Amino acid sequence: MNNTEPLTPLSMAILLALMDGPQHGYALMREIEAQTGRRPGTGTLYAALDRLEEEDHIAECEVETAEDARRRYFRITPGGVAAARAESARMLGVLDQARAGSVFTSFSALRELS
Amino acid sequence: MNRSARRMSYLYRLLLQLLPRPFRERHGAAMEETFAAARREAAQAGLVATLRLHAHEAADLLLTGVRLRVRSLGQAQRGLVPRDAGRRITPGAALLDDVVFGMRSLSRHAAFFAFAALTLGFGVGATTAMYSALKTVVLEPPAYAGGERAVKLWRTMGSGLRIPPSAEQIELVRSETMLFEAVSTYSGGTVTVTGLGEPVELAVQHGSADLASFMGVEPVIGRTFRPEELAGDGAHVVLLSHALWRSRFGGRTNVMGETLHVNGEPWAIIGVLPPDVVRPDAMPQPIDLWVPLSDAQPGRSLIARLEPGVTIERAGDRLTALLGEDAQSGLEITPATSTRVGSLREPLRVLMIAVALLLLIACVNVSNLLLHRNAARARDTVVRAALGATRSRLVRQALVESLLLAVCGGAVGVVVAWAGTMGAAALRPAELAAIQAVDIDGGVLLFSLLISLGAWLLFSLLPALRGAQRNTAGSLSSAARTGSGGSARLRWTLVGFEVALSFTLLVGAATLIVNVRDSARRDPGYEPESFVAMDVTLPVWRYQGDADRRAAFDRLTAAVRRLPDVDEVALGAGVPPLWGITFGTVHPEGRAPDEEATIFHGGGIDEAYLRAIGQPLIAGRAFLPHEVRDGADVVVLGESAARRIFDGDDAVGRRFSLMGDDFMVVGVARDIAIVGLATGDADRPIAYWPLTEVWNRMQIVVTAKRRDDEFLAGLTSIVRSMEADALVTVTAGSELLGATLARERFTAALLTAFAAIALLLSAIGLYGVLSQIVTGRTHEIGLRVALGADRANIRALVLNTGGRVVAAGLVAGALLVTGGLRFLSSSIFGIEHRGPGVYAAAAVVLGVTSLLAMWRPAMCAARVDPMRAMSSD
Repeated sequence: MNNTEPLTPLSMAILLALMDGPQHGYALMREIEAQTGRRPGTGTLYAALDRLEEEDHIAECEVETAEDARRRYFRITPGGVAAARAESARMLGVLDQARAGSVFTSFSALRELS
Repeated sequence: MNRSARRMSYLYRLLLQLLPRPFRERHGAAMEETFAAARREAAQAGLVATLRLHAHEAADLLLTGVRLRVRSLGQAQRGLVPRDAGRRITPGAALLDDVVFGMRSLSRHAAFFAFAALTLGFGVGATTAMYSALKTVVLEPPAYAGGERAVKLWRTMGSGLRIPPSAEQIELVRSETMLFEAVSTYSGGTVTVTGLGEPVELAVQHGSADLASFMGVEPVIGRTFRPEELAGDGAHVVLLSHALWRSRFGGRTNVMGETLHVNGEPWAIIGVLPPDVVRPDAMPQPIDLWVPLSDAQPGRSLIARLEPGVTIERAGDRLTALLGEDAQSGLEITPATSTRVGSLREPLRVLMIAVALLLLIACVNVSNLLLHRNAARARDTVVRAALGATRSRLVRQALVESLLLAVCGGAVGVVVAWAGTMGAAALRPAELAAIQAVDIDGGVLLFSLLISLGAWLLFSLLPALRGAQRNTAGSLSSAARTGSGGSARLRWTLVGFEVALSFTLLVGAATLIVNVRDSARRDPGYEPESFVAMDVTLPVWRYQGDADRRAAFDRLTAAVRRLPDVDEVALGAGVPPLWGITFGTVHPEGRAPDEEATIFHGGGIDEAYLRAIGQPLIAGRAFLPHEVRDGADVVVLGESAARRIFDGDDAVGRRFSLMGDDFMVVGVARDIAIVGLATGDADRPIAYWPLTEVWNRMQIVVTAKRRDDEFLAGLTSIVRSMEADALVTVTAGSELLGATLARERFTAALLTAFAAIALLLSAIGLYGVLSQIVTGRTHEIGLRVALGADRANIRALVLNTGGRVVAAGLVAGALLVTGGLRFLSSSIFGIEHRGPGVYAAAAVVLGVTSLLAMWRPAMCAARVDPMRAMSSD
């Protein structure tokens, strides 16, 4: 398991979306849009899925209620859960550092200046 | 799924082809399904949402395609799955990355990009179109095997006159097997063909026995001529052109042995030519019929193929050595295409220079746009440099981006060129028929690719160099952002350059326009408005003797004379500006014979002719009826001819001999524009003889009080009612004359179009730079207003800034154009240097356009709100 390298925001969003159970591409697209405010194109989305699959963070799975034969569902793997956890921890660390460096107060200070 | 949805999913599948195949195979179907769901949702939200989805998907798939390939390239190199962080960049992947970066950056600035590509496209397109015309007319060899070595041989007669060689000269050339690989003769003409509906005039090519093998022509059906068919006057056998066979014979394969009524006689069809047969001299007019040319026929054109390695010069030297230096028996050797090139070479050269200037202006404009963009994103560049991007990488990214621009500009250019040649072909006068074959082929595409790349180097070099020079700290200062300082100076210089080039083109176009106008206003010396010319061709097969033809034309002229409202009817072998020539050495009575041949324009006319066309006599008289009837040895000369022959002495009553015949001058007529109004065509020697030989084709000149369609139709029907198989066209004398300026008008129109585009481009350049300066100096302007500056002052300040550059450009342009016009006047149709009027007109047009371009930035500056401007920083 490789948890030293940070995940891209899109990969992280996908992993988070799959935490609640298997999803198909279009549902993931909407979930990511809800999370980040930006909807990825199908190309970007599937390129990310492809890479996550290669890295064993997600896997394809069968779902019985599938309406369309072409529809493919993905689920998160234990490796994916671990990677998402590691990423969350890393982000928390960054956040702590930001707080320690009084990023927030500096920002407000900047606002006052302008 | 409804139809539009099906179409959309088809489009999507097409876009999926952008992705690498393994990826597509793994995810394609699922992606399609995801897209379909997204499309359904967007469709409910409306058209805009649907369009946005499609645009987004197209861009996304394009980028993903490149990104996945970069990734797999990285994998292949290192055998690893690459990640964004800490990735080692291979040169190939880096380049692809630059391409992605460039596409992204360009797609983010779609308006800028579209505009730059269009600007470039106009430059590249105009240049490409002109190049394809130049190639078709001048550069392309005749389209048959060995055509690039084909040459034409002419007999020289002095005075620059070239005629087909004599039979002895043809034999001599045939015997020179060291110089010529193959030799053949041909001639052209027209025949009247009946029995295919209305009588039609068809273009016929007479070819000697070896012409088919010379040109590598194999009939698609039937055979070529047999040796015995070329004996004597030639047998009555004919090969049909492919087009004629398809249109008139329905492409039947059993036409062999059928007869075609050529000039009233039955000719046997022996074969059908392949579809792509051209004339041996590459003239663009199509051939309808191919008939035998016997060695006994006079006026055969001589064509030969040089042995490989033999140059035209060497062959010419050898022929001169054989024939001697005598100007009148020499052979001149030219490329086979010399007739096609004819008088088009010089106008094409001028237009080629004009489009090169246009392309240069387009490059300068795009260069300016890029400089503007560089200035605008200086901060972005600095941030990237600060994050560790090397200078070479930054320059490379800028170059890749502009290369993408150049490629797109080139693509737009090909479209512009295609549309341009179509448009030009539609407007082209008949004289420029050689341009009808202009098309965009591989060579032309390669040319436009090359000039796009050349343009890319030109327009991207300056911005790239400047980008590299940029010093990191300095870029964050406000100077770089506001476009003052070095960058602005450079951009102003470029605008001044554009103005200068546009001025050059404007003056060139104005000069041509003034020339055409002056030529059109020139007094032709006769009265083309007062008559109509009936061009009548009687069927050769029915009127074979001179007496028959004379009787027929007498009947015709008498019938026309009986029409109401007709004043004058005259008969002649030609009509200005379409007269034939007579040439030979002149021997004036009591003087030494001339050394060089004189070319006389004119020919046989009747007693009423000069009156009918309104050509005044200066001395002596016109022909008398009995002189015309009896064919007396008298002549009426034009002024220049009389002056030339008798050295300015009074010519009336004097005699001279021409090619063994003796003539007495009975009258001297005013010189007229006998071959047209173009500047080089003035003062041609003119001679008229009594109309003794009446040909099948004659001109009936009619002056009448009426000119309406009914009257003209009446003239045609008189001919038709007398001879159903006659060919007749009725044209106003002024129309015939006007057509002689077609080439000049066309050249002037094209040059004007180029000048207009150049003007537009430089106006845009001016507008762009000035707008940016105003935006950059908003703060300063606000300060001035706050300190009490008048708004009119502010406007004047801005106009003054631009005006100085325009003025400098005008001065530079004037210097440039003075040199340029000297070239122009030396190269085409005796164009004269047209005084300050033309310069002034061009300067006014340029000045007004510049003012319009500067107006909006100036108004914007004047409207600056000091409060807003000063708080924005």
